[in-house]
Amino acid sequence: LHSTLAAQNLLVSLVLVQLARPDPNPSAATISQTYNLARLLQANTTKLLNTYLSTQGSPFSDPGFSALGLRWAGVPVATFPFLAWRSMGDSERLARNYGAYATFDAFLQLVWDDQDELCPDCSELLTMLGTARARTRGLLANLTSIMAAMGIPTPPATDPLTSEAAEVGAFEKKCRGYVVCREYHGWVDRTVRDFTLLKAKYPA
Amino acid sequence: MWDNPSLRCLLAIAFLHLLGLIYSQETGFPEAPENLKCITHDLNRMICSWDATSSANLGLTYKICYTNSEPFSPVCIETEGKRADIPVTIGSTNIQITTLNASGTPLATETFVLPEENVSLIPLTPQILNLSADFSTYTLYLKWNDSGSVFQYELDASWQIQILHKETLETVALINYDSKLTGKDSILSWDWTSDIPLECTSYYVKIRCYINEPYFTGRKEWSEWSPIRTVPEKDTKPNSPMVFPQDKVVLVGSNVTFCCLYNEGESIKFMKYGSKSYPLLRLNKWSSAIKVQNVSASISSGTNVWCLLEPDGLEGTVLFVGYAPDTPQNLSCETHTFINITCSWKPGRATELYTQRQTKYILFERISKENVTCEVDELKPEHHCNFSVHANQKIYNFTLGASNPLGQAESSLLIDVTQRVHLETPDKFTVSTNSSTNAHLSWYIPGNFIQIRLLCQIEINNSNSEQQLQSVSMAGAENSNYRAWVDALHPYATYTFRVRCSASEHFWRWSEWSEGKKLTTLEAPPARGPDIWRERSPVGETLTVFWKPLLLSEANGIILSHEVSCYSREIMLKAHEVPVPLNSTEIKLGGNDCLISVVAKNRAGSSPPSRITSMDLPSDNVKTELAIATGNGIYISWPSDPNVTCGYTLKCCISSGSEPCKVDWEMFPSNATDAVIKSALFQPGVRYNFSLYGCKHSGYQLLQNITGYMKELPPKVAPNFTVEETSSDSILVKWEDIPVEDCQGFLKGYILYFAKGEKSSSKTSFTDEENKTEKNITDLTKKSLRILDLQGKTSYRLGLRAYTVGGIGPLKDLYVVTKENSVGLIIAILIPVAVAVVLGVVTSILCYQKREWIKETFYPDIPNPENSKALQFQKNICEGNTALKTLEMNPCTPNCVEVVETQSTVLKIEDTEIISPVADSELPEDGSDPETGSHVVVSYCPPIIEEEISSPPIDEPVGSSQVIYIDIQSMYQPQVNPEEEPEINFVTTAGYKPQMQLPINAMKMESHSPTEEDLDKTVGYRPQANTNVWKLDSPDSPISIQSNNENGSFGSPCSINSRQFLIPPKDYEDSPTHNNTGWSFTNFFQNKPND
Repeated sequence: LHSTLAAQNLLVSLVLVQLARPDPNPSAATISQTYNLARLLQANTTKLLNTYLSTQGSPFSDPGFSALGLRWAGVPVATFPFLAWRSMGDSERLARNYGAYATFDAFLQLVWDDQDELCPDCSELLTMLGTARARTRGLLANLTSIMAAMGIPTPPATDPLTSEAAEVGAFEKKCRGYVVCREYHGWVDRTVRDFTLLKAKYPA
Repeated sequence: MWDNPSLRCLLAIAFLHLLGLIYSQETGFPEAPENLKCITHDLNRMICSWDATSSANLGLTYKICYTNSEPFSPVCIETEGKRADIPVTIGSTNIQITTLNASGTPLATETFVLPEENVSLIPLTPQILNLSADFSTYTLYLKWNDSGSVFQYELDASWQIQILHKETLETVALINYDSKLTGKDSILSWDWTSDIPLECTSYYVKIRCYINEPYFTGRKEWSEWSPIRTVPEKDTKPNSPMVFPQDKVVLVGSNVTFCCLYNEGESIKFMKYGSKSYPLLRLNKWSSAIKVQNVSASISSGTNVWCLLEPDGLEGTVLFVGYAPDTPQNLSCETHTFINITCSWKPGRATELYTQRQTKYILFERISKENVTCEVDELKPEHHCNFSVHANQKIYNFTLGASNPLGQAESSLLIDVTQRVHLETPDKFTVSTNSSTNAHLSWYIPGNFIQIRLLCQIEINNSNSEQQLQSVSMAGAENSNYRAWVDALHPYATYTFRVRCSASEHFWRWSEWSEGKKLTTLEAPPARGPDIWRERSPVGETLTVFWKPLLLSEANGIILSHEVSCYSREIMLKAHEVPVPLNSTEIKLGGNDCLISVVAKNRAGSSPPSRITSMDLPSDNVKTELAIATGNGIYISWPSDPNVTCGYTLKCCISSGSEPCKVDWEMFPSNATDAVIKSALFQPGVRYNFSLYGCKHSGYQLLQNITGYMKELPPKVAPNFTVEETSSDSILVKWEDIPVEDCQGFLKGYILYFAKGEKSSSKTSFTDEENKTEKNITDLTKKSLRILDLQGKTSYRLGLRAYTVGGIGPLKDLYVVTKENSVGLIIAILIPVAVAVVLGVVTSILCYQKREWIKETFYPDIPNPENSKALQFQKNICEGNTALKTLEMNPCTPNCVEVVETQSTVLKIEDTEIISPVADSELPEDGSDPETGSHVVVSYCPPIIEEEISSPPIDEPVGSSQVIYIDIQSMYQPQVNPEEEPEINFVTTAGYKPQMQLPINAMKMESHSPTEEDLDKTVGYRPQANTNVWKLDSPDSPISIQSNNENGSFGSPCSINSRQFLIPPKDYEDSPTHNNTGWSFTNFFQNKPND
């Protein structure tokens, strides 16, 4: 397990190192790298969601638990009408990705805080949440780089969380964490599709 | 008592009288007041009201005049209403109410006598001042004014508080509360705890009062209920559905009620505690609850309680179930530096609560009244907390308080900080030396120990793992280096030092050991001279000086060389230095003896000299003694020699392997007479030789030689032996000595075994031999032995083994055969021959003397049937029928008879008689019939045969008939196997007819015989038509062999040709054997005469 984590971290580092280099065709190469990063994230989000659920007690830890109706204000939702998604412009596509991960960055930190308080002995979950957040930041850096290369302005930074976010009950915190992990999983899937599309459009 | 009718009657009369008193003044006008009722709230004034019919006359007023029962002047008041406020009096009050019209004209007057009993005391309606709720504890707090100032004195008051469900108005609780009115207004408070969260449903609260004035005889009634107050809603009551209580912490084993609030239009599907569903209790139209009994400890993230709503919704809360903190255990406080006091403890039973809910510890010091909050990690088994040391405070009284949402516990400890010093591990530890025996140590201990003394322990380990502890006490200092030194170290030795410290005066605990430091002390001159010995060469010209290397502890450094010098009268003649590693040197004496001196040298200097004289004293008659093996050494003893003044030296030369032997020696004091010599080089079973020298005034003298073993073993080989000489009864065995190196011990003797045995014998050891003999030869000078008393020409196995104290050696054996004994052989041949001859002679004589009898018996000219054993045998067979003598076996007719002597007439008659069936039939009836028995003739001849044989001339008369039985066997053969050789039979026996023809005769016989049975019994003959039976009877029949029927027809000489048919029918199947046997006997007798 540790070796795979280490390998993944190494890959993330390589991707980030790649970003720092001057590139004749920066966006195409970075798109490809971002695609790889998204694929890497994709493999881990399922595990993150499962680990999260397993530590929260019933009903979350019950086999096959799913509460698709559960939403949390502010958490980006990945579902989108297909045609609209398909015909979306690059700038919008990238901006939506950027916006989503900027929000997830804040929410993952919030979930980490919640779990540190609720479940101090869930060290594996806390590690995974920390890793997910670090990679999200890597993804954001990639997106910023691509958008800069394409001349797309990055959306202004907004704080998606209000001060009330910390004042919810434990059960709501658990629900919020679930929604964050679930939607994060959905968004990484969507990003993989986005970058599959972009990769085809901008071959390296 | 109420059953008494007269009493009841009296009471009724009294009641009517009372009514009369009240209404006595009634006038009957419609405006007249009636139904006067008076109530009082304060027992001071009462409000009286009455009824009066309102007529058309408006502006009616009432004049009320009242007097007490005392003769006071009446007080009158006027009022427009139908009520008046008048004082409460004891006893009765007369009240006159006059109705006045607008002009003041009395319309009607009514007088009432109001007794005290008719006045009602109804307290003022209480007012709830405040109703508040603590949602976390499900508690309502109620406050109200008791209006005690209404009464000027103390009174008992009772209160009734009612709590109602807001929606259903069902009474949830009705509680009585008693208080005392003190004459002043007081605020009373009361609280009530709900068993379900207050958020789950809304409540109403109201209160009423009752005043118990025991001296007031009027009616005392409850006040009105206060106005309803609603339980205030929680400030943060959500609009969305929720589950209550939120994030509550409860004790393990508690019963908890949870409710799920939902909005209109929603309904609840189910509600679960963890994964278990519980039955829903509907509280109201927007709230349902579940009751969970005896909750168990939850996981760290709590137990989820959740409800699933329809159409869509998941709401929940988390319940944290754990324990109140345990009393902190093993609380112990100590200081490491005198800067902080560190208290440590074990939390005891885990609370199962974490982070915000985990146990919080506060360390409180009572003397200084200071406290510190302790940061602990709930997951660790031991907790620590630091408290600052105060200047000038030695005694600390600590109380450690533990608290969590479920409770608190505490532990206390009183300490004198100077007695609880646990120093930090000594740091910066260094060791140094500038001598061969001393070392300086230095270390640092953080902390301020000015007020105490320190005790430090220095551990000294040398390279031999010997450990030594030295303690050193020193004054404490502040953050200082501490120094110590150790002496009495060995020169040139490596030591490892460690140090640890504690408080000297009040020992509490040692610090941890510091890290170890190594040190090697400087070299010093060797402590003593080496052990030396010398050996003169055989010629005496040279002297070899030997010395033993010094032990490491004696060398005090690295020995570089040995200086050997030769002194004669204190003058050094020669000196030379021998470098290491040589441990011997040769000195040419040149005919002069001298005093040898050997000095060992290292870098630090020289050892004291070891001296030995080169002079040897002559010795004669040196004996060689045997030493005793002890198993691990050699015990050597010698006689004490008074001339020996400077000790004994025992020298030996031990060789190990192929190397030349190494001279070794050991010295003993002059008074010693024995010693056990031990050496790692000694091996069991190896002989060692020692020389014992005595040191006398003028030199060394060889006293004796000693030989011995460390441990004796059995001989390694068997003695070589041979047989020198053998005779018929002895063997001379000779053997050789075993070589010394194979003896492995001092030989004690031989064991000779001998036993009979062949070389091919499988026995391998004499121990298996049963008849072995063994001889123990203890005389070692004997080299041969004669074994006597052996048997001639016999193989013997001989074995020889040698033995020592260590055991018996291997066996060598050989086989030897003793020589033949000729006399015995001759006797063995002669005796049987002589016996045979004697027997022959005696037999011959006997035979000669009894020759007549023999001839008569064995070789008669005419065999006598009476004497014939064979015929006697036949007689036995025929036992039971004495009439049937040998040849009278009846019926019996030879098929072929040769008549030698002719007496035709007699025979013919006889034959005819015999043939007669009548006579025939008589026979078998009684076998013992004397008449029948008298027939000495061939009594039976079948009729058919008769016809044939009647024609040839009959030569022999019955009386002396010489019947020649010819070839009966051949005649019989056809019967045995008629199919194979029928022709031969016919040729040889002309008179014979196949018996197949017999049935005719049989029938004939039948007609004459009285019964068939009789025939069967009396006549042995059976019709031979029965071929099956016939076959069975054949001598060769396999069945016949097995038969042993006594009634078999064998041997009947009168029925040779047809004896088969003489057998009674019932015996047919059993009889054949005798036929077979019988044939051989028959042949014998038959052939005899011919011989």
